Amino acid sequence: MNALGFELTVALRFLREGRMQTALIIGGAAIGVAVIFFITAVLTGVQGDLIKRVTGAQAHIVIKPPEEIVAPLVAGDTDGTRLSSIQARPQRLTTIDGWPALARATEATEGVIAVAPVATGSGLGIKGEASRSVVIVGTELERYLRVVKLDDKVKSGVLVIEPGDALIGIELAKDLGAVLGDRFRVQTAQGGSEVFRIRALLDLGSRELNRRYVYTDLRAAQSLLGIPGRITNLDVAVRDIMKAEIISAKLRAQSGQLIESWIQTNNQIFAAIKNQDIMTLLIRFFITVVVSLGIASVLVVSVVQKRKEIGILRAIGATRRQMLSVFLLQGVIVGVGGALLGSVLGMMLVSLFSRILRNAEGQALFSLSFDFRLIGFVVAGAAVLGLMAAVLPARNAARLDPAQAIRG
Amino acid sequence: MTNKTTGPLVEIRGLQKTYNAGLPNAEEVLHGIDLAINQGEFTALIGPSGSGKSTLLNILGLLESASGGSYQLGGRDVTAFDDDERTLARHEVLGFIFQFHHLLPAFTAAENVMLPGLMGRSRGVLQSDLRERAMELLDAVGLHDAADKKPTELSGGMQQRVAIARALVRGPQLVLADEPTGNLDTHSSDTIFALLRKFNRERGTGLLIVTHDPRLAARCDRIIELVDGRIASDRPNTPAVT
Repeated sequence: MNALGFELTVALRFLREGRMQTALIIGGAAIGVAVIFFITAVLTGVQGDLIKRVTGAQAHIVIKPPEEIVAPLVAGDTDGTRLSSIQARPQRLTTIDGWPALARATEATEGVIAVAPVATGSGLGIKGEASRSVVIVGTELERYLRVVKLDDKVKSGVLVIEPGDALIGIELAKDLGAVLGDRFRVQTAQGGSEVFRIRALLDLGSRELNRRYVYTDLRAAQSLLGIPGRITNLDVAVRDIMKAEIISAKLRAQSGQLIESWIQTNNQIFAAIKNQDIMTLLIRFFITVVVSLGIASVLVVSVVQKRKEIGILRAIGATRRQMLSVFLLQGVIVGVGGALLGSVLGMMLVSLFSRILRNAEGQALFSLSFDFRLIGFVVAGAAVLGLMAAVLPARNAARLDPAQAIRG
Repeated sequence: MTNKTTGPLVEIRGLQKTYNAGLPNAEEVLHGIDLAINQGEFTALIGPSGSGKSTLLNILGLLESASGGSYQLGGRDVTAFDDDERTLARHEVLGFIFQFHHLLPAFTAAENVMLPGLMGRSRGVLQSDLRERAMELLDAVGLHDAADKKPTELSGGMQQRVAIARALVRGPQLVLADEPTGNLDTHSSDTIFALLRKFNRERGTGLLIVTHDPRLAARCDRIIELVDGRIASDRPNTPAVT
C-alpha cells in the first residue's frame, strides 16, 4: 500500500473515506472548469464569426496616399486672432507613387502575409434604365484573393476576371436587374466608360457592400478612373489580425503613406470585442475564485472532522510536514480530478451547443476541437489552484496539537 | 533499535506543568515530579480523575512539553527538543495505546498496524517485511483472520488488540497506555491485559499503564499513585497469581 508513499496513500484514503464531500467538491470544480471551457469556446467562435463578418470584404490593413491638406496662412494659433478659417480641400483621387517598391517592402514586413495593388474609386453602374452608384475595385485577382478571401463569398459564377469581366454584389445585380453573364456599363466622373460582363455574384456579408461593389481587373479600373499605371491603395493581409494595429504602426514608421488597419476603421466593434474579452476574463477569474474557495472550505471541514486521526498519526510518528503534505495533496488531487472531469464535461457542452448555436448563415458558430494543450494547461492550473486552496487547511492540520486532538 | 543504556530509560526531575501560563486562568497540574522508569518495567499509574495522570503520560510520550524540570529519555535530554525532534524520538522509542482504540477507519487492521512503519523513516524495511511483521503481531494478538477487515467491522476488544499490535510494530522500548481497557468488558479487559503482560515478558517491552481499575493495577510490578499533581506513593508490587 505504500508504493505511493505515506502522504499520498493517506491523502487518497482520506478522500475516499469522505466520499460525499469529495464527490461534491470534485463535481463543483468540474462544473467550474466546464463553464470556463465552454465560454472560451463560445467566445472564440462568436468573435471569430464577427471578425470574419466585419473584415470579410475588407483588407486587414489599407495603405493609402497621404491626405492632401491646405497649408494654413497663419501658422498655429499664436495670439488668438485668426485671419482666415481653413477649409478642407475636396479630396481628389490620389495615387501612390512608386507602388511596386512599396508593395515589396510591405510584403517583407514581419507579420504580413500578402499585399495586393488596388485602384478604387466611385462610378455609376448602368443597365438600361437602371443606374446605381458603385465602388469600383480594380485589382490583380490572384494577389487580391490572398488578401481577401472572396472564394467563400461566391453565390454563383466563377472567380475569374478576364479583360472585360466583373464580379458584383448580389444586391447590385438585383438593383440593376442583371443576372450572371449579363453585361452592364460603368461610367466615372473622370470620363471613363466601360462595359463589363458579370462573371460571378458575390455575397460580401453586408447589404451595403452587396449593393455597391464591382470587382474588375486593375487595368480596366485604372483607365476608368483616369489613373493609368497607378494605384490608389495597397491592401494588406496579416497573419494575426489582432496585431493589425501594431503592424500598421510599423508600416507607418517605414513609409510616408496613410495607413489604416481594420481595427481603426471598425473602432467600435474592436472595442466591443475587447470589452467582451475583459468580461469573460472576469467571469473566468471569479469562477476560479469560487472553485478555490469551495476546495478550501471542504478541506477546512475535513481537517476538523479528522482531528483525531491527525492526532493519532502525529502520535505514532508523522511529522508536521507530513500532515501538511497529506492535505496539500488532497487539494491537488481534487483540483486535477475536477479539471479532468470538467474538460470532458466542457467538451460535451461544446459539442451539444455547436449543434444549437448557429450564425446567420446557419453554420455552427464554433466547432469541437480537442485542444490537448488547453486541457494540459487547465489541469496544471487546477493542480496549482488546488494546492493553493489547500494551504490554509493543511497548515491547520499541521499545527494541530496531537495531545489535544486525541483527547477530542 | 534497543540502545541499551546503563541508566533508567525514563528519568524526569522536578517536572512541572502549567496550562495557560501567564493568563488569569493559569493552572498548575503537575508540581515538580521526580520519576525514573527502568527498561522493561511493567508499571501502573493510578490516581483520581484530575490528578494529572494523562498530562504526565502525554509529557512522557512527548506529545506535550513540560513547563519546567528536565526529561531524559533513553539517555538523551529531550527537554528542549523541537516538534520534529520529539516526533522522531517518539517514533523510535515509544508506542501508544489509547483508551478509545483510535484506529484509522480508512485503513484495514493490517494497514493500521503497518502505518508507523510507513512514514518513510524506516529505510531498509521492505514493504513485504513490514506486512510480515504486522501479520505476525496480529497473529500474536489472535486476529490473524481480521487482517483485512476495516476497524468498523471489529468489536471494541478486537480494535484494542489491533492498537496493541500497532504500538509494538516498531519494537518500542516503552509503551504508554492510557486506560487501555477503560471501556471494555471484564473478559476483553483480561485478554488485553494478558497480551500486554505477554509482550512485556517475551520482548522486554516496558509498559506504563494509566488505569482507574485497582484490579489491573494490582497485577503490575510497580504502582505509582498520583494525587493532585504530586506522587503520593510509588511502591513495588508483587502480582497475585492470575
